Amino acid sequence: MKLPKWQTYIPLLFIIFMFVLPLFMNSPRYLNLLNQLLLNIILAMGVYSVWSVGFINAAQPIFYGLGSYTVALLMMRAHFPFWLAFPMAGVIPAVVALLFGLIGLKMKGAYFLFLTIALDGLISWLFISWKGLFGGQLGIFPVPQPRIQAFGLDINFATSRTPYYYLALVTAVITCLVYFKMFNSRLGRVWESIGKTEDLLANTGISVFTQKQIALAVSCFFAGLAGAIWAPYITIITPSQFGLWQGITIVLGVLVGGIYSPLGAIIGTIFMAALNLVFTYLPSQTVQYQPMALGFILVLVLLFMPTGILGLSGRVQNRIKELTGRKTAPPSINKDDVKAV
Amino acid sequence: MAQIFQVIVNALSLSLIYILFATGLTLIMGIFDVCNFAYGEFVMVGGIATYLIVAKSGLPYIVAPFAAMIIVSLIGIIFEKGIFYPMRNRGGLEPALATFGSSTIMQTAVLILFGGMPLGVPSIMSGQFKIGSAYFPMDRLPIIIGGFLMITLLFLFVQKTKLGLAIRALQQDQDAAALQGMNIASIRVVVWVVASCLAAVAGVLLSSISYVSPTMGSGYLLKGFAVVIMGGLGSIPGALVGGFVLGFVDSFGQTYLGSYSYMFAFAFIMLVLIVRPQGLMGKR
Repeated sequence: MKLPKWQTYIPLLFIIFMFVLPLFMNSPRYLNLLNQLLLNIILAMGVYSVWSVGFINAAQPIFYGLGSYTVALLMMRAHFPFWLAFPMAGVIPAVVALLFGLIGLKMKGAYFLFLTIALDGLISWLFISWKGLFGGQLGIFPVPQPRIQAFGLDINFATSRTPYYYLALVTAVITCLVYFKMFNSRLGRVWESIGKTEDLLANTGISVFTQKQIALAVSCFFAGLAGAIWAPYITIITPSQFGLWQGITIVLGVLVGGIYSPLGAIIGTIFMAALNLVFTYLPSQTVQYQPMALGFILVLVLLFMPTGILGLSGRVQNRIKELTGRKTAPPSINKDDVKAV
Repeated sequence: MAQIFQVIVNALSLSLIYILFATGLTLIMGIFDVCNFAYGEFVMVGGIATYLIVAKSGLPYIVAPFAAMIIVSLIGIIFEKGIFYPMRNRGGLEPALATFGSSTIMQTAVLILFGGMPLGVPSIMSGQFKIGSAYFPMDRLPIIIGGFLMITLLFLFVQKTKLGLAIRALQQDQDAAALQGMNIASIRVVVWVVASCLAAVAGVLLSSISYVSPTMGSGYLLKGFAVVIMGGLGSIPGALVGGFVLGFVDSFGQTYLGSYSYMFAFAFIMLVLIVRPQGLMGKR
């Protein structure tokens, strides 16, 4: 797909906008929301890429949680510096994903979705019951905070939330760049065709299973990195932060944005964050209705808006064409029509 | 010895509930090729119906299964006409997500209507009788009888009636069945009614031995899927074998391993899937 020239600058402008945003919006509340949004975008890109090979991973927050626990345990028990624990937090979820993929990726899509739900239960159970390592229900705290002291700079993450925002932003931008690069390469085209005609692809000599493994492992690697930022940011990590419900919210975001484009994953995640913000302004009695609202959104989007928000613009354009384009006459004649009426 | 007998009785009743649950699930999965994540809520509605009829209205217990079957079948038909039929050409993933959404809607609706507290339903029979040195709890008896009755009825229906033949034909090839002049749309509704009835009876039987709550279905949903995947997707005999295996593994695990049984059951299923990815009775 070749974009018009001015459209290629929109992502760049958006990134610059995100970089200067804390200068104007530095209240901790909004910074917190933006931080979570960025981490969720990293997760959503992973969910999207796995979805493009025909699987829905509802356990993405579990891999995110594995990253969080890895970084926390490495820093607290093994006294690793943050910058060494950070990449490790990506590697361990990726290895777990590869092991899980050995079984799960051989199943059909919907059964994989079930297996991810089972995996979610299993690892959550592990976080809760293995009290010696993971600290049980209460979790582990305090996770030490990173500090950069180089080139005369001294950035202490403990005193301000802003460094975390930039760390999350840089990680999210790198994640998105890597994903977009992959989607536009041969690998991305192979993934896209796995979702469409898997058997045909297998007959061309491509190992479909290996490709699926790569997609899952890469998505879990980045999810783990996002988790590694979350752990020192929140300083106390508990199993309840990485539940199935968060996973469903991310899947819902990808769906609402539009599952036919990676851009949809980002737009959908922003939409879900906005929805969450709206929820916080509602009276507290409505908390129990929120799952119901999300359920209705899920069903209604699937039934009536399968291409999501991103597809909506195309649909609106088509509809306008349908309504106005029936007369394929030049505009001047239309003007005359108006005068005649 | 007495303890082993006790565990076997428990395992048998647990297996039968798993089987009731999993046969309905496998029927839907085999024919529509879709995971129904709202199936646990079908069981929950069966339990709520029992609570309303037995505990609230004081009607005799025998009314509960029939009322539950009617209510749950209506919900099943709504699912078929509202979600599954309109989305029949969209693959397996999107309808599965839609059932997930419906499941949360149903759970939340029940939570708002009845509250989150577990609701008690009196058991059908109480007490126990002695066999040798072991005790047989009477409240398990209706489950064992009802379970076997439903499974026999299902087998007779699927194997001996013309409608059952149609369902089996649909399972093999929907297009070929349509070419033979079968009314696919109405047979799909029949499948939903059968699956809903199985869930309703499971809900009624379950509510007599445990509490009714909005989330009672979720735990059984995971177990039901495990049975279906272990037994082979879409295979009713597979669900039978898988249900017995998981029921016994679960009961013995809970007795002898305590809280690790959850881990043990899933490790067992993973093992089955590594050795036989198509399930115990499934075809490649």
